[in-house]
Amino acid sequence: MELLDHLAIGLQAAFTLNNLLYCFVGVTLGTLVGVLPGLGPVATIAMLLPITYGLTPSAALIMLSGIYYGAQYGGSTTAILVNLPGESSSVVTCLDGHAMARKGRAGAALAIAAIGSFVAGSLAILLLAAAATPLAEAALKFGPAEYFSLMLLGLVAAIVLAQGDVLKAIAMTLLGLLLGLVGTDVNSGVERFTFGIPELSDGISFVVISMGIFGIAEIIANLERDHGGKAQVARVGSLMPSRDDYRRSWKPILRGTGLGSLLGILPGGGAMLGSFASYMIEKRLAREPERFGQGAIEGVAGPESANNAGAQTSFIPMLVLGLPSNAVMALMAGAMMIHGIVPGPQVIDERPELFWGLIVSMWLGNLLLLVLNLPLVGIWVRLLAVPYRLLYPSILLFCCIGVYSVNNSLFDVLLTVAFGLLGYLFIKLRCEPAPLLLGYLLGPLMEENLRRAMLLSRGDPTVFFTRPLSLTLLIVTALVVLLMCSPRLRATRQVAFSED
Amino acid sequence: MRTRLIPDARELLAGLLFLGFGLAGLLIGRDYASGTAMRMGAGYFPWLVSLALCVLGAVLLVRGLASSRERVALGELFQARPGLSIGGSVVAFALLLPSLGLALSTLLMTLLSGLARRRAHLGELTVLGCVLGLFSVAVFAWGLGLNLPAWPV
Amino acid sequence: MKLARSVTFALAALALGITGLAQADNYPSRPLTLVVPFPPGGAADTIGRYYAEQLSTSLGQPVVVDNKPGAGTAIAAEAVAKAKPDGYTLSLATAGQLAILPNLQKDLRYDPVKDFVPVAVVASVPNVVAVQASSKIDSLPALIAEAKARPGALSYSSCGNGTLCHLSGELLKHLSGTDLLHVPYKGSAPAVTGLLGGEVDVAVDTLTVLAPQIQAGKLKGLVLTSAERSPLLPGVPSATEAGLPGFVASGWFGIVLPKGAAPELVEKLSGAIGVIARSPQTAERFAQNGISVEQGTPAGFAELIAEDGKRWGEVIEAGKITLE
Repeated sequence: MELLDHLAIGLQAAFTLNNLLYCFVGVTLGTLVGVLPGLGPVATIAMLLPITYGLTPSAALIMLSGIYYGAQYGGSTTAILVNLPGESSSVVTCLDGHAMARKGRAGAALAIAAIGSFVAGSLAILLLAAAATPLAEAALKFGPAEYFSLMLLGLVAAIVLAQGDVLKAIAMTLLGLLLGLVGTDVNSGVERFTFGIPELSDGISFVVISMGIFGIAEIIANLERDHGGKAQVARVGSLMPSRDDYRRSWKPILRGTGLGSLLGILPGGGAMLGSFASYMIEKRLAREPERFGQGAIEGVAGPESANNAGAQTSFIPMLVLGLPSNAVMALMAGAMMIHGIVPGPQVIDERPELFWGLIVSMWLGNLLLLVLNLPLVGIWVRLLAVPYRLLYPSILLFCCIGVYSVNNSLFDVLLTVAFGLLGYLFIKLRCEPAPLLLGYLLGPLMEENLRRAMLLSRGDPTVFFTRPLSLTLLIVTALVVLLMCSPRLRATRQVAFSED
Repeated sequence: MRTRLIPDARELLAGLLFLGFGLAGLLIGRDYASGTAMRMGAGYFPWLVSLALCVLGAVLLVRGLASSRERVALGELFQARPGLSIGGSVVAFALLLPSLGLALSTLLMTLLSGLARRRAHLGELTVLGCVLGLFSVAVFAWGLGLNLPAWPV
Repeated sequence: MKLARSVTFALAALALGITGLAQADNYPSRPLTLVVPFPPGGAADTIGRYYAEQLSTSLGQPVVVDNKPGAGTAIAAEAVAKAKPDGYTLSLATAGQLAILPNLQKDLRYDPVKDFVPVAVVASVPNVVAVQASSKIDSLPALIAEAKARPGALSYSSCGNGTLCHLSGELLKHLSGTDLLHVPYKGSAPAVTGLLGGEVDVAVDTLTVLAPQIQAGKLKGLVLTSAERSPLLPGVPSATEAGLPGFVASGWFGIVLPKGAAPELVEKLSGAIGVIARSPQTAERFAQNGISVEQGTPAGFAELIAEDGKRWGEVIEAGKITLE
């Protein structure tokens, strides 16, 4: 059994006192920066990268990856408690997670998020250990045509996310697409919609939009309703999920794990689609889809599992091929270079203790996170009892610092205010922000791959239909659109619409 | 309270908003090269998205005019105080941070954001601002080594 | 009014002159900042951090690395151009920033020649032209023959429009009289992924990025864009050996100061950098990443900037490359 030999190497490497310590430090830090809105793993790892000079390569990688997946756990906390997604993956968690919190079920939502993340993380790591190399090779077959079709499916999912008006959801998605185009165009190098402002030439960062539209806008809207100075989201219910919650959650957790793991492997970056795709599927499969958006636990369990599974498997392209698929992985590759390890296909063979040690430590880290997060649920929930008049200035501060930390740019902080006011307008006009964020995230990838696919096919659009995988994705997209127009969902939409 | 058939201001405003963004996109993007099917230019995709946004905005506008429901006046919809106070506090924070440092600008932001509520308690806000200011200096400036001045320079 | 203003200017100039003189003697007397125009983790950051660490020891003052990524180095360049020329703000600058972008971007917010004082070139990385290991093309002449037989049918991936990867590809087309389809990607990792996945036929990227893939047998290196082979890839021929002597393209990194820095400061820094560059430890540190350590005088660096700027200007004109 080769796998067992490898795991033995990994156990040996991961269970040294030093590595255990840094694993713990990493996941604790990760949870912390995940909980603080806006301050994400990219900024944190970038800040801590120079500090890892003094560590062994194993310890450095173990700690930095701990920050990354630890932040996935922590990020859901803020999303559920204060409706603030610090990470692109927690946008979806806000929808039903925060609705649960408002109904006094924050404890159950937080616990299911942690449990789902743990299950998903463990299974994804198992997949990573068993089949990293063949999966990485297979994922290379995913070309620009496939990416474009996948993004199209993602956009349709964005519309399913919305509970209210379909037209407004489509308009918000389109606006998101437009916002995503701000910055330097990858294919031509020309700057678009930047108004000659250098800070805009790399685009508007995700944190600016989400802290503005979710964070600041929400505060303004809450204060408007505020009369008694009491907490808006208080009411502490039971801390742990009920038997019914578990019954509803286990299938979404497994489905989310599968989806998230698969999308995480894609070398062009697909991990962020996992949580959206999972939400869409759970809403489709649910017996009463109208519960979604009102605090359905499936809408927390599935997406949270998907995003943590994706976080684990997104290590595959970097570890197996030496090709980072997102900003965090690029930093991990940088950390290897700092320690004199050349990231590339040879790492698995030449430094087995590094690769397998990291994998075993990731499982350990997930276990630590579960142990760390479940007791924290009680403390977080109690945080909701803090009067809102004391809470909101703190949230405001964290938003500002988080936004600043991404690019060390005060311009970004000012831009966040603009998005905050825009977001307030959206709330007043009953336009839901989640589709906008998804459009923003998918737009640039969609355009880049559309243009690359057309360039490579020398202008022949049939390329999207002649490649089997791309065709399959397009057929699924068409099916989803058809189902969306089906009587059942239309009926539920009308119910939701007339309620407001 | 249902009144006569008067369009819902929210629907109209939403339509106008999207129409406005779409038109702005078309206007600003009018000089970007559109290219060919093989070599799509930088302007092709923005043009497509902006156009779709215009169409949708127009549809929302027409729908808002046609299917009027209850009366919602714009004046009742918005309150100026929270938006001005919160927005202003963050703008002040960003502009004054380089000279005032993290601690003082945090205090200032807390005080200004407190004005969002009509019955702001100045003493409580000052205490909160000091606590947050010291906390942010300890955690962000020292702990995480964020590139920010902690004290006035 | 006018008089008052010119008096103020004269006083200011005098004050600057005096402090400039005073500084040269006991320089540096406080911590220095080295601006790196890329985020932590890349080749530029690795080089910048190494030199910052070494300079801290030799200058006796800490040298702090300040990563200012964005706008393809323009944000860092602008910040440094506006910094006080007191010798306490240094910057790592790249070939792209000083020799390529000025030829491409009409409304550049800095002047690559007038806004900076070159101190020394510190490192360089050549590019490699690679194909899939399973490709039937196994040498540069074979690639050129194939490209000539089927004009426009072969495609190559680059790490972005207007980057050194792209311009090296265009230089290859120009020198060999062939037509390859350029497919830009967002950085090196996706560009190499594109070749591994078979989306494109050829990739042009840095030795740092391609060497591990070639060593692992995933890709084949056809030519190195330098006059000599690299010890990292002994099997890959140099440009001359591959029959295309002019196919030389080097991505260099150098240290610059903001305009107006006193010559004494430049000299002191260039001396300190020279000592670091000559130490065998430095060469060893970068060898496995395919980065060659370079050294030279401020004048030599200025010449390199001017020469490369002119050469890439010609390639850009010949290939009709624009950012549009």
